[in-house]
Amino acid sequence: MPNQFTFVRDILDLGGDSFWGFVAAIAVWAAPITGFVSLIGLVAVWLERKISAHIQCRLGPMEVGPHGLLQTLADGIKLLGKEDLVPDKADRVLFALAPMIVFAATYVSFAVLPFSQDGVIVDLNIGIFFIAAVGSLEAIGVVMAGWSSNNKWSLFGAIRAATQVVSYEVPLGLTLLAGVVCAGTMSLNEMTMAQEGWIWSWFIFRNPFMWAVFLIYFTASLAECQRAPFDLPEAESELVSGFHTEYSGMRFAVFFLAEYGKMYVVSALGVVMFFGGWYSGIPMLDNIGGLPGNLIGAGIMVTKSMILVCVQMWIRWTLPRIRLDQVMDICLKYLLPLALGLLMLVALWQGILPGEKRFGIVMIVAMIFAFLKMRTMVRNVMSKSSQQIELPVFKV
Amino acid sequence: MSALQNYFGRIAKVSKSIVIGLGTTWRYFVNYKEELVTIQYGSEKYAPQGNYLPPRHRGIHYLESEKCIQCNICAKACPVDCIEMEGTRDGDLDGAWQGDKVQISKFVIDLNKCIFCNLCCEPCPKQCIHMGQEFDFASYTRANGVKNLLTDQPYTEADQEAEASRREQMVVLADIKKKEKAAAKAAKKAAAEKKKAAEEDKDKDKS
Repeated sequence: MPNQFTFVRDILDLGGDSFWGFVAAIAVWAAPITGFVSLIGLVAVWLERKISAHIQCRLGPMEVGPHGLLQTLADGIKLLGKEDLVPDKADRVLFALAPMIVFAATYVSFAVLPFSQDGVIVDLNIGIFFIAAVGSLEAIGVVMAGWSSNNKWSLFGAIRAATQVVSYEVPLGLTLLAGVVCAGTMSLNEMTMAQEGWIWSWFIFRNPFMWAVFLIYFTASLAECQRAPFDLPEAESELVSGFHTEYSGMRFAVFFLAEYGKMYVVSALGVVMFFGGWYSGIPMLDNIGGLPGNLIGAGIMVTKSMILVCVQMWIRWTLPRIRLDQVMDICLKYLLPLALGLLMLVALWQGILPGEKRFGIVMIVAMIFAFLKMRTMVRNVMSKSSQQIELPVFKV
Repeated sequence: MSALQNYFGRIAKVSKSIVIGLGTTWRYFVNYKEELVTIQYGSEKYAPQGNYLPPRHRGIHYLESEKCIQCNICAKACPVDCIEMEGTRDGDLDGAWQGDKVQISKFVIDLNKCIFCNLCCEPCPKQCIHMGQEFDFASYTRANGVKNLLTDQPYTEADQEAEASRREQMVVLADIKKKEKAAAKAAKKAAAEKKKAAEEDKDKDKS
C-alpha cells in the first residue's frame, strides 16, 4: 500500500523523542485533530438543535447566520467569555482535572480512527482494543467531576455513570469482539480493508447476524456516550444537569465538546466495523487512490459517521429516559446474552463461509423488505391513533 | 418454554414500540412545516385579530369616537389619571372629531402610566372605550408611549399644536355661546315681561 503521508512520518522520525519531534507532532497531528473535534462539536450541536426543533414542530436557531449555522460559534464565544467559577468547598485539583480527562478520553480515540486509506494517525494493531480502553477512561473523569463538585446531585450523577459503565461495557466489548471475528484483525485500517468491494461486502450485510450485533453495539454505544435514553448521569429533569452542574464557562464547554466528540467516535467505530469505513460501496470510486481518493474516502467516512450521529439524536428526541435499574436490566439481562449468542453465531458463519460476500445481496433485499414492513406498520399505527385521539392543535 | 417466549416476546414488543416511536418522530421531522408553532417574533408579527389572544385580553385601548359623548367619566374613573380629553358642544371646531352632538378635540391615553385595569371601560355610559387586542406598543421615547385614541397613533407634537389652536377656538366659541345664551335669556325675559305687561293691561281693561 503506497502511503501518501510518509513525509510526515519522516519529519516525526527525524525529531524522534526530542523536543522538536514533540513540537512537530503537535503541529502535524494534534492541531488538526483539535480543529476537527471542535468542528464536529459545532456542527453536531447545531444539528442536534435543528433535529430536536423539527421533531417538535419548531424552527430552532434561525437568527445567527443562514438557518442559525453560526449560533454554536456565538455560544462558544459566549462560554469563553464567562466567569470560571469553582464552588467554595470543591476539590480544586480534581475539579480542574476532570474536564481534561473526559476530553482526553475522547480526543485520544481520534489517534486510531481511520479517515481514509492513508489518513490514519497511528495504525495500531490493537486499534479497537485501544478505543475501548480509552473510552472507559471517560467514566473516571465523570466520577471525578461529580465528586469534586461537592454537590450531592453531581455525586448522584457520577455514581450513576459508574454504575452504567459496569452495565454497558460488557455487551459493548462482546459486539466489538464480533467485529474482530469478522475481520480477523484488531487494526481498524485492516478491518476496513476487509470490507473492500461492492456494498454487500460490508460486514453488516455480509454476515446474516451482524445487523443484530450492530443494533446491540448501537444501544450500548448510546449508553457509553451518556445519550438519551441512557443519559442518567446528566438527567437534567432530576439532577439539574448531573455531574457537570457546577461547571461553567470553558470547562463546561470542554465537557460539551467531549460529549459530541464521543458521539462521533462511537459512530465512526460503528461505521468502520459494520458499514465499510471509508469505502463507498462502489469499487470504481474506491480505486481512485492518491490524494483525491483519500479526500473522497475521508468525505465518505465523515458523512457516514455524521449520519449515525444524527440517528443518535433522532433516538434521543424520541425515547424518554429510563431508570437506572432498567438500564442494568437492558444491558445485563437482554443485551449481554444476546451479544454472547450472536458472537457464537457470527463466529460459526465466519468459520463455515469465511470469504462469502454475495450473501450480502440477500441481506440487502431482506432489509429493504423489513424497512417497507416497518414503514407500513408505522403508517397504520399513526393513522389509527390519529383517528382515535384528537390531539389539541395549537393554532396560530 | 414460556419463559423463553416471554423473553423474546418482550424484546419484540420493545423493538416494535421503538420502531413506531422513531417512525412518528420521523414523520414530524419531515413535515414540521405543517404544524409549525414558532413565530419568528421580531421579523414577523402575529395578527391581533386572529384567535391567538383570549377575547377579554386587556391590550391597548381603542375608542369608538362616534359614540363618545365627552362625559369625562372614564377620566374620572382612572386610578392613575392617564386619560385626558377635551372637546366642546358649542359649535364646529376645525379638524376635530365631528361627533353626533359633540366635537372631540383631544382624547389621549398615557400608556406609560396606564395599568390596564379596565376601570375606564366599565363605567362608560355609551360603551365606546374598549381594551383592545394589541399589546406591542414599545417605543424608543416616552413621548411615543402616549396614544392618541382619535387617530390610533402615537400622540405627536402636530396633534398638540392643532389642539392648542382648537383650544383658543373653543374659548371663542364658548364666548359666542355664552353671549347667545345671555341674549336668548334676555329675549325670553323681555318676552315674558311683555306678556305680563300685556296681561296686566287686559286686566286693567276688564276692570
